[in-house]
Amino acid sequence: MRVTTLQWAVGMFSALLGAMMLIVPHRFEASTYAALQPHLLWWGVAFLLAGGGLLAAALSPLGWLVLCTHLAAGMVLLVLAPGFASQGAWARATNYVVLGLGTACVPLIARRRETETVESGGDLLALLVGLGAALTGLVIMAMPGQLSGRFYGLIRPHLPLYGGALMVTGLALAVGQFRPPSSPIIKWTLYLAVGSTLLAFAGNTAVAVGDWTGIAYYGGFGALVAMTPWLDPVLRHINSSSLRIRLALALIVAVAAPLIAAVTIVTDRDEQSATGQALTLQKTIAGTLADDISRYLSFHQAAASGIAKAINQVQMTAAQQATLLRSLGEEYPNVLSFATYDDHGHTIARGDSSPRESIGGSPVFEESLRNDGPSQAFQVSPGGNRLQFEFGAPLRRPDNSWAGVLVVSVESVRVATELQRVGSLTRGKAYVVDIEGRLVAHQDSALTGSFQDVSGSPPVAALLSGQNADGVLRYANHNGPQLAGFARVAGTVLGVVVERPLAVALAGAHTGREIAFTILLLMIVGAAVGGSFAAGALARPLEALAREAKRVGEDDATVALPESSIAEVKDLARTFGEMGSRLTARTQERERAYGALREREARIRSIMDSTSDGFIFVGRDGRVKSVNQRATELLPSGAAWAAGADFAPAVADIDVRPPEREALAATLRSLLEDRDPAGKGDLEVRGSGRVLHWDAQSAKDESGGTVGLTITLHDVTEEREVSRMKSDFVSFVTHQLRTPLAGIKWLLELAAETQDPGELQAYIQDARDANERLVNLVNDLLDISRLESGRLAVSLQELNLGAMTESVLEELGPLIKEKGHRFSVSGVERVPPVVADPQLLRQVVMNLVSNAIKYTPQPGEIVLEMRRENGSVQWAIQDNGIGVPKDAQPRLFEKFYRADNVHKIETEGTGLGLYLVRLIVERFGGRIWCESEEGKGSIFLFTVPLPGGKDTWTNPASGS
Amino acid sequence: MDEPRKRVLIVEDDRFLRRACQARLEQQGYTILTAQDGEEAIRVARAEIPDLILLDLLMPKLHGLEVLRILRGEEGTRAIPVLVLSNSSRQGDMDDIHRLGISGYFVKANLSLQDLSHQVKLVLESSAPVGGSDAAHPGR
Repeated sequence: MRVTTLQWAVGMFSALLGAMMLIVPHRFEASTYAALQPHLLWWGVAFLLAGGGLLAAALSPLGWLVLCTHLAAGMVLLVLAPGFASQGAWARATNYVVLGLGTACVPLIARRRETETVESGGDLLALLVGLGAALTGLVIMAMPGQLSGRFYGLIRPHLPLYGGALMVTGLALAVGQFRPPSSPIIKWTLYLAVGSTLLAFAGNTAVAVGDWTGIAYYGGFGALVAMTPWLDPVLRHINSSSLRIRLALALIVAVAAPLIAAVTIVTDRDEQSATGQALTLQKTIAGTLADDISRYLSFHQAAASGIAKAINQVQMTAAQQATLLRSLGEEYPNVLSFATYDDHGHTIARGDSSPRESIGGSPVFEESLRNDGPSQAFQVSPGGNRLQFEFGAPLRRPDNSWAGVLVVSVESVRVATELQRVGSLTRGKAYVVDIEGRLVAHQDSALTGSFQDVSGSPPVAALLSGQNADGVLRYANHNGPQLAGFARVAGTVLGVVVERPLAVALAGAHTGREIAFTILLLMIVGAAVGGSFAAGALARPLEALAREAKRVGEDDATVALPESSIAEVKDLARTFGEMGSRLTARTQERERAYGALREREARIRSIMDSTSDGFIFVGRDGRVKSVNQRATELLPSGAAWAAGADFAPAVADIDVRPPEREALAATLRSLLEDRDPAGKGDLEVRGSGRVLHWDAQSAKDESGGTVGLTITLHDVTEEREVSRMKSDFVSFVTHQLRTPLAGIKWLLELAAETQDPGELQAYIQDARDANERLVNLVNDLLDISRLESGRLAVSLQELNLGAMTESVLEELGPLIKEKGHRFSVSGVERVPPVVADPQLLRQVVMNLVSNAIKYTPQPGEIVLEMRRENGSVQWAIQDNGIGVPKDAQPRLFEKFYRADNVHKIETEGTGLGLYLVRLIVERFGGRIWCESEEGKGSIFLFTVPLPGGKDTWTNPASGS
Repeated sequence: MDEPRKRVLIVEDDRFLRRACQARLEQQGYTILTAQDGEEAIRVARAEIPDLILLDLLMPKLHGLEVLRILRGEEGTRAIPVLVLSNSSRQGDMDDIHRLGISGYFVKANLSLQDLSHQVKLVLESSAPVGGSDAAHPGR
């Protein structure tokens, strides 16, 4: 579950409550806060610290901080609950209990830092507020009778509605925290529902009665819950280390702390002195009023005494008295009555027309009688609530004995008026009590003369019991603390009390406090905003610089520097700009260098890859540092030639003969053992059949130390082949030349030794034959050599193949006859002339005809045919001799090749004949081939292309 | 001579050389057998067990080296002394051949018949056991 919102909400609530306790403690004078009253100041500090601590925990969740602050905040909230419960505010009590318990339990539930996203998990604050609202609703529905306070005044008719709404929405929200709805709309609806219900509740209860804490709770939490879905991501992103937050917090604390402290301390002292002043004022007013009353009474008493004295002096008769009293009555119409009574209380004379006969038993009479002196009494006017005073002055006989009493009866308007004036002046209550604590006069005329017993009231008790003529008292009753000033009316048994609630007395100071509190809230907001803005002046350039730094890193050439009026930031921006330019320049330089390096590498690699030699570079550590494609092709190894791989295993795996492999491995070893490695050798790769020549040289660095081994692989297969062929050729030729030479030598030796002329002839003839063979061989070899190298000088002439063939046949005539072959020739006339070297072409014809003759052992058929075919002349000779085996046919025209079956005929051939023929034919642009079947005979054919552009030559004989 | 005539097998594909050699050696009093190629040489050697073989190397059908190898591998012909008459002076050939055990190697073109008959006489008269690293039997 998320606890961030809870921490913020409860933190702010607790801090707010604490601030209120310190700044406007008069708001906590209701009996619900009776438990806190004695040490409200310390409670205020506790709430403030708990709240502030919780906010700190929200910003930097250290384990111990979270634990302590949550416990503290939970406890202070729980402390509030009993007060409310005792006064019947069950709803509020349950809310505080839920909130307090929930807050205190957080460290136990959420042990690790939150990592859940907004979508997952529920919000603990929403859970607690929802639960609280649901319970409030439950309470409202279940026991409406308990909710008797003024608090619920406005909503009483709608209690079930509110109760139901709170229960349903609260429950839905609480449940929704455990199974978060997937749709954001549903989620927001839940929050809004609870929030608005609470706000409506708050508006009609707390706001209506001006209950600040109620507003703070219902209004505050209601609004917060309604906005939670939007607030949570914002709160989550409040980074406690960001400049804005820190500056805002610092300003808030800097503003709030002194303000709270100042207001608390200063206002407290102010209040104390104001209280003192109020008490003094009340006492003075009471005293003044008492004096006033006293004077009033004294005056009237003196007047009565004066009149009595006048009567006594002349011992007026009843009639005289009546005359006097009547004239007094007319003169002072405000006086109720002047009357005299005798010592039995019977009326002697009256100034008015009242029928009163006797006052016997009335207090004024009895008192005068008792005291033998003046008397006073008061009573409430019949029918009205006015105070009537009776002043009695004794009548005396000449012997000064008490003869009765003169009573002046006055209805006191003045006292009532004064009491009202004082009451409205002080906005309190002013009243007069008698010696037994009964209410004699009250500013509220309904209570005047009620004689209500208020002796229990503390100021009255103080007045009655006190020794002093006046005094002050501060006490508390169910309405709160009260201030009272009182004074005795001198000369009477009366006392004046002026009392008023402390709140009224200190109304000004309290208003000041409330103003201070409002200012505090405004200043906190202002500080937060101002701090944020001020920080912005610093944070924005820094953020801009951070963005620019990122862009510089991303290779962006331009750097946009932030503007600022702060000198340090300007300096930083300028320096940053310089650094950025330097960095960019260096980066570009480096990029260029890298580019050049990469280019060079690419060039080297392309060189390495384009060379037809393989190239391997092995480092000092025996690892392949680089290898080109050709090397891997030339020398495949099971362990692939990868750069970075060890060289030795790859060497061990190449498919060559062990001695060759060993040579390479030995060179590698001398590299690893730090001896100067170098070497070369051949590798005959068995798989591909190629012969590779490898050459290893040590690579040295500038100081001459060996850094590795450079191995080049060169495919020498053809070279070796060629050189082998050359040495084969050389040895073949050597043999072929030496054989006839040896023959000649031995034959001549025999010839020289023999005595027999017949033998001599034979030996010489054989020597001549051998010599002839040698000469032909040498000529053939020379021709072949020249033809192969293209250095044979050909003299091109127009010649007729037919004529040439006939000439050859003529030359070989004897041989043909000897062998007994039958010859037939055709196409001689039809053949157009070709352009070629006659000597060479004659050799071709001669060779082919001789072969046909030679390789047909018994007398056979030899057919010669010439014709024109597709722009060339085709010459063919067919025999029915030994033929050419199938496997020999493809190789028949190769150098030195002799088919296997020719040894039956002759063992001495060189295999050069057909090769030379082929060279010659191909030299003139023709083709030669053979068709044959072994044992049946062969056809040898060759073509010579006709000279291009020449018209067909028509043979007049054939007519074509 | 009183002893039976020594028989010499001449293996040579060139007829001039063959004839000349035969003529000379017959003058010396040897019985001459001839073969024109390797296969014939083996056949004759097995059948006749000559006292000496004059062996040409470059021959059709079977190289002289192979002939020698086969002869040296067979019980009957193992001990026949062989004089190689070749026109090849390739080092590789000479090494291989020497390993098989021969009594001499001569280049025909550099050899006179006189010298040749002298060599033949030496070998036949010494009747030395066949030397060489590849001889099958240590002694005879």
